[in-house]
Parts: sequence; C-alpha cells; structure tokens
Amino acid sequence: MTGSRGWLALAALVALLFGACQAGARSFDEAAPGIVAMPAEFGGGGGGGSGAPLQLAEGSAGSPADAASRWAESAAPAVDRMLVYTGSLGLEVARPDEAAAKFLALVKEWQGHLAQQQGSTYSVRIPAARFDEAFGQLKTWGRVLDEQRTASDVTEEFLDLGIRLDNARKSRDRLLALLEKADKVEDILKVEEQLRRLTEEIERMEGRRKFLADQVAMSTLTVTFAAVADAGPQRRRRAASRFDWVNQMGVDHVLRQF
Amino acid sequence: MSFGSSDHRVSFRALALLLLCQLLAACASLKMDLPAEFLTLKDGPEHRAVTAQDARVWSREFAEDNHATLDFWAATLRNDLVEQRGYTIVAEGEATDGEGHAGRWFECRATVEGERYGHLVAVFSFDRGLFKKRHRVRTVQFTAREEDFVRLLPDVKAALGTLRR
Repeated sequence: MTGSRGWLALAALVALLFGACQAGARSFDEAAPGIVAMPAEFGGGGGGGSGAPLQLAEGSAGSPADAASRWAESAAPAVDRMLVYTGSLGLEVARPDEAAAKFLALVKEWQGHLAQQQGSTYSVRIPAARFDEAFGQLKTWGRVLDEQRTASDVTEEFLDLGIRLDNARKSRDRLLALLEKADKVEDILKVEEQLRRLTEEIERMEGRRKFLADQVAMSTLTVTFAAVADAGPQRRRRAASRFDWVNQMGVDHVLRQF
Repeated sequence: MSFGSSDHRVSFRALALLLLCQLLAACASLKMDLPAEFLTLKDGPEHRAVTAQDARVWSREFAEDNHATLDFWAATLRNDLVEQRGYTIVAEGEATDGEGHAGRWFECRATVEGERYGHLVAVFSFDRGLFKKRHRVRTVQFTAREEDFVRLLPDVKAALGTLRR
C-alpha cells in the first residue's frame, strides 16, 4: 500500500513537471490569445519587433463564451487602446523637390520608409510614436493647405481575433486527435476537410492580426508638397493704407527695403 | 530792449542751447539693446540690426499728420496685417518702450514666396515737439525665418522695453 502511494506521488510529480515544461515551451504564436504583441508605446516591444510582448491573459480550455468572459475580465484593465493613426498634409513650399528630399531623409532617420509616391505626393510609414512630431515639424516648412488626422481604435478587433484564434487552434488539435483515431476512409476524409478549412481560417486570422499590429506600430502619413505658383487660389491684391507708415510694415517690406 | 544786454545774452544762449538739444534729439538715431547675435547697422537715424542668419530688426519713427489714439493705430495695423496681408496673428499684447511710451505688439506668421516667416510688429504713439507738438508713430519690426524667429523672439520682445532715442 505504502509502495503504491509512493508510485502515485512520483507519477503526479512527473505529470506536473511535464505540464510545466510543455507550457513553458510554447512559442509566442502558440500562446495566443494570451499574449498580444503591442507597439512599444503600448508597453510592448513593437509589432513584429524585438522586446517582451505584453502578457494579457492566459487562455485555457473551456467554452468560447467562458474564454471570452475570462479574457474580458482579466485583460480589460491591463489593455491600452490600440490606435491606428493615419494622416495627410498638404504643404505649400518654395521648393517642393528639396522639401520632399528633406522629408524622406527624416522618415529614414525615424526608422520609417516610403510606401508610395505619386508626383509630389509621398505616402510614408513611420513609427506611431513619431506621428505627432512629424506633423509638428512639417507644418513649419510651409503654408498648410490641408490637414487631416484619423485615429482608428482596433483594440476590440485585435482581442476578438486572439480569442477566435485560440479556439480555432484548440479545435484543430481536437481534429488531429480524432484523425489519429479514425479508422474509416470516409471519416478520415471528413476530418481532413474540416482540418483544411480550419487551417485556412487560422492563417487568415493570423495574417489579419499581424496586419493590425503593424498598422498600430507604424502610422501612415501622406504629404503633398505644392509649389507656390500652383498652390491654391491667389491671394487678393493688397489695398494700400491711407497711412503711409502702415504701408511700410510687413515681411515683404522688411525683406525688400531693409 | 536789446539782445545786447548781459541778461538777454544769457536767455538767448539758453534758448539756442535748448533748440540745439531738441534738434539733436530729433536727429538722434533710435537705439535698442538687442541680443549679442544682432549686429546693429550704422547707416542712419533708423535702427537696423541683423543676425548672421539674416533675422532682421528694423525700428523707425514716423511723423503722422493724423492724430489718433494708440487703440486706433493698433486696430489699423492689425487689420492691415490680417485682412490685407493675410498674416496669422498668433499672439498680441501691450508694451512700453524705453522712454515710457505705451505700445502694442503683434506676433504673426506669414508665408512669403513659399518660405515660412515669423513677424513681430510693435507700434508706439506719442506727441513730441518744442513749440508745436507733432504726433509720432514709432514702430519695431522683427522678421526672420520661422525657426530663427521662434528662438530669438523672447529676447527681441524684451528689447522692446529698451527702445529709445
């Protein structure tokens, strides 16, 4: 009796150690939805970048509703908003080519990159942390003709994708287990068909989640540099003041008559 | 009564001295204690100063036949800057020059030929004259490319209080 109790205790210990090792060996992707990659400004290491991802909650077996409920309870207080920033700026500058070259050099310095160029319109991706700084700097380069900024909140979609991905992976594991047990060809074919669909769905969700993380980490900024001559309607001609000294004020006068 | 007497000679000399002082005061150039970055140009009664980056300060005094209050001149200048020249006024306030004359200042932003400039204009008004007081308008303009303008603005604003003949 004493011997069997000892064996049981030893078996339980081995099982616990094995379980712990299995949990520790899971990769970042496999651990989803408990772990979400967040950009540095959200407390993580950047979308697809290095650094420790932000741990939100650890998923476990159970119904999707239970998992969602646990997720919401445990994650809600810890999650910062995941915002996708996009913006556009139209600038009237003296020398558009020079301004564009300066802008692209700045983007490179910020670890960003050019995404698209059409004429004098440049669409670039820059780290989200630089978004406001970029607007601030660019607006000092010339007259602002047009300015737009948008922040889209993708937190809910990102978390929802994580939950769905977790459940889909668990379903795939169950189907794989079923496949091993299946004897009939008909059953094997049915399970394989289900597996194929599920794998496609998992890949689609993983892709979308990576896309969202990238959109959060890198903002999209579109800048159009317009030359003075072709920028906007001409200002109306200045009417001379009745007071001569007033006519001698102004930037033009200082630049030309100084 | 003749100017030949000793008392009259003294009075005449005093009067001549007073006139001379007035004349010198009228001809004296404007002065302003600007930051060391500015070089004051020695070329006339107006005060002109420039930095190596071509930031410019220009102080002048105009005889104005039309007598008006400072409020009127400030409103006239404001209207010209905004409505006629299309500048954006980002700040405005009151100032007193180095001789105690009340004034107003306007800090503007303007784009000229595609370049972004900052422009500070201050206007002071007062009456001056020995026998007949004439209305005077004193102005200070500070113009620079926006980056230099922002950097130098606090010191130039402070220097408005040192403007004098």
